[in-house]
Amino acid sequence: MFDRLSEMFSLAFMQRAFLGGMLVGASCAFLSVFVVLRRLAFVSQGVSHAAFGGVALAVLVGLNPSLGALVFSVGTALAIGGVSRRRSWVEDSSIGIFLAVSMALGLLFLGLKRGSATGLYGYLFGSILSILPSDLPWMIGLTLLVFVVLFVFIKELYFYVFDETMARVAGVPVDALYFGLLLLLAITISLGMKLVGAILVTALLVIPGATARFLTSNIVALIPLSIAVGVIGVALGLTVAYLANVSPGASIVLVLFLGFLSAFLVSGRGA
Amino acid sequence: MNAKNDSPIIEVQHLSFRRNGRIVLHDVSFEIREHELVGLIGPNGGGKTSLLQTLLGVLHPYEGVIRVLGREPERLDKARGQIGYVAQNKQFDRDFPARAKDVVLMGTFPQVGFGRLPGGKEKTRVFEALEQVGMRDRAARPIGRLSGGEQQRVFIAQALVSHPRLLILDEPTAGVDREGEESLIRLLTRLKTESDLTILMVSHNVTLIRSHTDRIVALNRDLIFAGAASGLTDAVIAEVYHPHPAEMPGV
Repeated sequence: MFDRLSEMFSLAFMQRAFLGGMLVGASCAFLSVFVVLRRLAFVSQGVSHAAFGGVALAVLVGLNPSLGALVFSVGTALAIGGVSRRRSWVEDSSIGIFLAVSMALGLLFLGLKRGSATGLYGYLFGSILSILPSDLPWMIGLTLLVFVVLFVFIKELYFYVFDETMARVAGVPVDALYFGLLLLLAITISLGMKLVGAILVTALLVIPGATARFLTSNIVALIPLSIAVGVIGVALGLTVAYLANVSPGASIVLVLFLGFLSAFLVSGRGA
Repeated sequence: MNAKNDSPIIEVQHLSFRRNGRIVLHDVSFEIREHELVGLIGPNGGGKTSLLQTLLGVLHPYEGVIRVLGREPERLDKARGQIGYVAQNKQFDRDFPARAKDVVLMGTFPQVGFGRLPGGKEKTRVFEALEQVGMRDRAARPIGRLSGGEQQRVFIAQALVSHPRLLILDEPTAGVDREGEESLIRLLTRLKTESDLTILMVSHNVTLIRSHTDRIVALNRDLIFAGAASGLTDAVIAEVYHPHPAEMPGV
């Protein structure tokens, strides 16, 4: 067992997987607190599926798939925000529409692509073991961006997610915060796709925050706890995947879910 | 920049406001002077909440002239901190991980500014505000575990923590039992004197408003009455709560 673990940490691709995975896990988990409190889980699902359309288009025209994912995620997030800010009742419906349309576009682009598109499997279900040394600098940069933005506006975000009306009256720029949250969500999703794929990335954006909420009623403890859950979940999931030789994306999500289930039972809310 | 003491703290002249083509407020004019406790009454749909939101700069555009603390509501800027507001029917998540003191602390955020965290000064003010509303001993309780009346006191403390000159409350006694209602209005009367506040409060409880406020503004889209609480007769009340002509069948 210890031999296998020391072997795992000696492999360069596993070192990159741990570093990249824990960085992205941390930024997803930080954002997760606001996704859970502001109930943006379905928005994140919609944006992550939209990213798949961007990946397929980028593959079709010969661009970097990650760039395609980022552009489509940001575009869809802003479109969902714009539509739902005009008519509050359509947030739910607009997500459903954008999600389906982006997936349909993805399928269409794949159909137009001549030859095999097997590389796309990695964007659907994750390819954390294929993180390249050149991926790490922008992963570090975007993680820093997420942390800095969330830290700068942290108290305004808390006020906004607790009581939007009062925050607006007090002069908090709630519309800018809403769109800012959606933008960060889109950026984080395009990062998280590399880890667990478009289908499963929502887990990284929902489970850590939801788990932390079961464990504490203290607003200050919520963020460090959520980040700890996210980082430990990714590290443990990767380790299990290596030892058991299973899909890392699936392993990370299932480890996070076990943590969520334990927190649910420990908190007594399952009763 | 403070308005002079002899000038009205709220001045409304010929205010009209439409929403989706429908007249919500029509040619409303009144003034509120400093250190008054003013009750705002009227039927549902009579324009009370719209008036408050127009005063707070949330709803616009409107016709007419409004001055709050000597400024147009959209140009309050830093003077916004001199207005405390308690909204109607708070729809917050009862499981939200915030204690009473966290909720009150949120009231200091706009003054603290972006990128900074509240310090010892703000935390001291939180406990002072909770003390003012008689909730200091429940500071560490989760907000969702407090009773309706206790929650309202916490939200009043949140509005008070920035040391406002003007406190605006939209139906603070809604969902509170009769005893809690009496207790809240006594609290507001005391705050007016102790904290040098001007208070504008919406309520459906006409009896309570008539016996505890200095002046009353009564709206049913048009201004029906604005004057001393003692002048609010039963005939005026009947007129206020009579269906507006635009709501009558065939109109």
